[in-house]
Amino acid sequence: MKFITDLIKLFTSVTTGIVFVFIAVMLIEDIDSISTKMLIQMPCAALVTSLVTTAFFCGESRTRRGYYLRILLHYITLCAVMTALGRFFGWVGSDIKGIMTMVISTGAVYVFTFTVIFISSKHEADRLNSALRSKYGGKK
Amino acid sequence: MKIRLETPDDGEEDEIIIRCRELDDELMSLIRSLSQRGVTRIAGYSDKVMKLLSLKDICYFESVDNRVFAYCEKEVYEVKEKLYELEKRFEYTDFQRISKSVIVNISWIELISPILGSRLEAVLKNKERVIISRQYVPELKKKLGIAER
Repeated sequence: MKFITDLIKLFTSVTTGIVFVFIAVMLIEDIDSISTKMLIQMPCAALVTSLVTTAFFCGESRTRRGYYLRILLHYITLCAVMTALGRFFGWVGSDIKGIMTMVISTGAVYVFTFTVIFISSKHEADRLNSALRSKYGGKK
Repeated sequence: MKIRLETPDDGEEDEIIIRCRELDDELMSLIRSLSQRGVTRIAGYSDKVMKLLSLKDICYFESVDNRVFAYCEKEVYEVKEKLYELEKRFEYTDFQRISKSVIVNISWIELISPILGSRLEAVLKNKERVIISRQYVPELKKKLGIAER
């Protein structure tokens, strides 16, 4: 159950991130309209990346270094997946410009999603610290 | 619930008597907690020397390659019990499982902070850091008396 709720939360954040990035690209490239197919393609891309992310983080890292290495590998995998999807959906070409567009766009969605999740985790950490303070006292 | 303290007569042992109409979950939890109060030490091994470690001095237990270690403020000792056995044994104490490989002494946690990627990290009083897995957060909340939203 927790797996499903976590996946839904992630999917929502990634979809929102992808929509924001698309709006930014449309503004930069001066694009007036998008194909209706993209309304289906965007959630599909969000679902694939959410599944990849959930699979990546289902295991545990023993150390901080191991954890950050996992994040780096995750980002590289997402760039590869999104570049392939971008090519498949016809969002970008297979030239260097297309690849760079997908790498930068994936980075932007990544930062957006992780910021949303970080804010939510910060709120959770504050509640835990407050409970720890009431139970054990001291400076927390 | 009323709490009454009585002084025993000379020669009588200290005892706790619970008078109740029904043994509910809350009361059972209290009884288990009281019965585990007596468990204050565990055997730790370092260079084949056995030492009785006081539970309050142990920051956390960690399982590494099928061996379990007790981390005190500065020293590390191996313990013979498996992690799941320790989890069961200290269920009603300040110890709480926070990942597949770590059981932490909550009273040693100085601060909990978020780290990148939806995980939390506990900074202990000896400045060591241990990662809290998401799947164990609900149990930690329960132990700290926070209702799940």
